Amino acid sequence: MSIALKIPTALRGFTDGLNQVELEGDTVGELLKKLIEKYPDLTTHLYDEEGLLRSFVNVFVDGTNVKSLEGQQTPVKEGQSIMLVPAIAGGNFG
Amino acid sequence: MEVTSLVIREIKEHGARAYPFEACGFVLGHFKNSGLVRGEKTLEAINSRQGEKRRRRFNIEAEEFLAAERAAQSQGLDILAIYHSHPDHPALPSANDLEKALPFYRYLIVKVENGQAKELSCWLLANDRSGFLKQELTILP
Repeated sequence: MSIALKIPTALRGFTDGLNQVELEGDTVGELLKKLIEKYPDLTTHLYDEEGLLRSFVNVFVDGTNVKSLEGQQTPVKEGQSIMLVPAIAGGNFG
Repeated sequence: MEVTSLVIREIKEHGARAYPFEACGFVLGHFKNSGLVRGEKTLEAINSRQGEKRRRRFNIEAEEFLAAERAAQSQGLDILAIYHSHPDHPALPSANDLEKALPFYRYLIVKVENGQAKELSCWLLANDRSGFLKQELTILP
């Protein structure tokens, strides 16, 4: 099953400029793993040194952030709108 | 990066207004064929950190990022940069900034000292996340 994952502007430099990538997978987590297999240079931006998804990486399925669904276990299917969306964070010293 | 003097003024005003908490927002503008980016407008964002944590941290929720992207597109513009203030600290990226930075976008940081906005600097994350690269900031009239 091929599913389209929309890529945010900030990460398109790592997907050959594509704003959408077709991937195989049954869950959000599987799609993300397939994404970094296809574009390994994305790995460091999506996952931290311990292999955990970075906190600012969000995935929306049909307009809902999967953090309020089943997280990376959220099931996906063809025809859904699936988007990678960054949150923005940072701050001062200390 | 090129920005108008209005953009600089608005970022500094927002930083001073938010003091002693961190201000944050977006710079919207155009990509130029030369590879330069030109910031023409600011769009203030809500720092979703709570209470005293806002003195040292900022967070813009993904939902607000999406709304900002749509607002930019509706004006024929793109998000070029993220700005935030460092209350009573230098206009230099912190380890926390590095940990959570996105590639591609410029990061504008303004120092706010005792409520007065001071210097402002511009940074770009290295593609391997090893650090920030300082960017030249040209201020247009």
